[in-house]
Amino acid sequence: MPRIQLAAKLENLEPMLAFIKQGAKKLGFDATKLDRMHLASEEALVNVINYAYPDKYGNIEITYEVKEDKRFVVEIVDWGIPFDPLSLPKPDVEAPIEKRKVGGLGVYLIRTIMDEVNYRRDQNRNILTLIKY
Amino acid sequence: MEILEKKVGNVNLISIGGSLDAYSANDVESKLNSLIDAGQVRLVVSLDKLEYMSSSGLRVLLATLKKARKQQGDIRLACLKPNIKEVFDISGFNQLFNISDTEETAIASFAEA
Repeated sequence: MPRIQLAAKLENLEPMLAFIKQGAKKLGFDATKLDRMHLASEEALVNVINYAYPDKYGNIEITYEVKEDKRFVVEIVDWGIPFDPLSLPKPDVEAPIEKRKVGGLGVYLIRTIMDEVNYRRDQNRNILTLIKY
Repeated sequence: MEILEKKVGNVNLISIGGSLDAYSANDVESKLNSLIDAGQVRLVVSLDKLEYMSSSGLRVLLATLKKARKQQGDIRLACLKPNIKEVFDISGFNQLFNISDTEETAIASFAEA
């Protein structure tokens, strides 16, 4: 299973996204699907980069797998503070401008774009799974 | 990401090209903020050359929209590509912004009261 591990820094966002995109291309995703995969992945990775390691540096490990039924499964792992992005409240996308906040938008985009999104905490790891059919 | 800017009458037309993402959001925010701070609060942001936007871009646009409106100004958008429009629709940002198909329409909209 293809895997990379890089420091959770913004400068590594691009190689991380390139890695995921490489896998998605193998599945024959068209330009639109690749674009959406890129967006959801960026949102997920930027959250980890910004929030997972508040006091120290840490890594992100990404693996992907193409399942028999052609599902593209990406796993994003970090060893940071426990954080379940799926527990964030859904942003009020109908609120007027004064009430609009940007928090939670990234996760909302991920959930809307991906076919399945799962989170689990395993020992000291946050594991976010993104699945696109 | 590239930012081009020019004045058209009493409106500033800012064209953002490339990607508006976690890398480029801060630069775009600085550019828009410096215009607003200088009292240039009739802004048209053209996304004709923008290929990609993530929530970092949405964050910047919302923050600068609020700032412009506080000074009785506005940021109006033009020329959203379909994939960008999709992000706006999902997030509800299509309801927050005045969005035009062309730069001319967006610029002209400032002439109306």
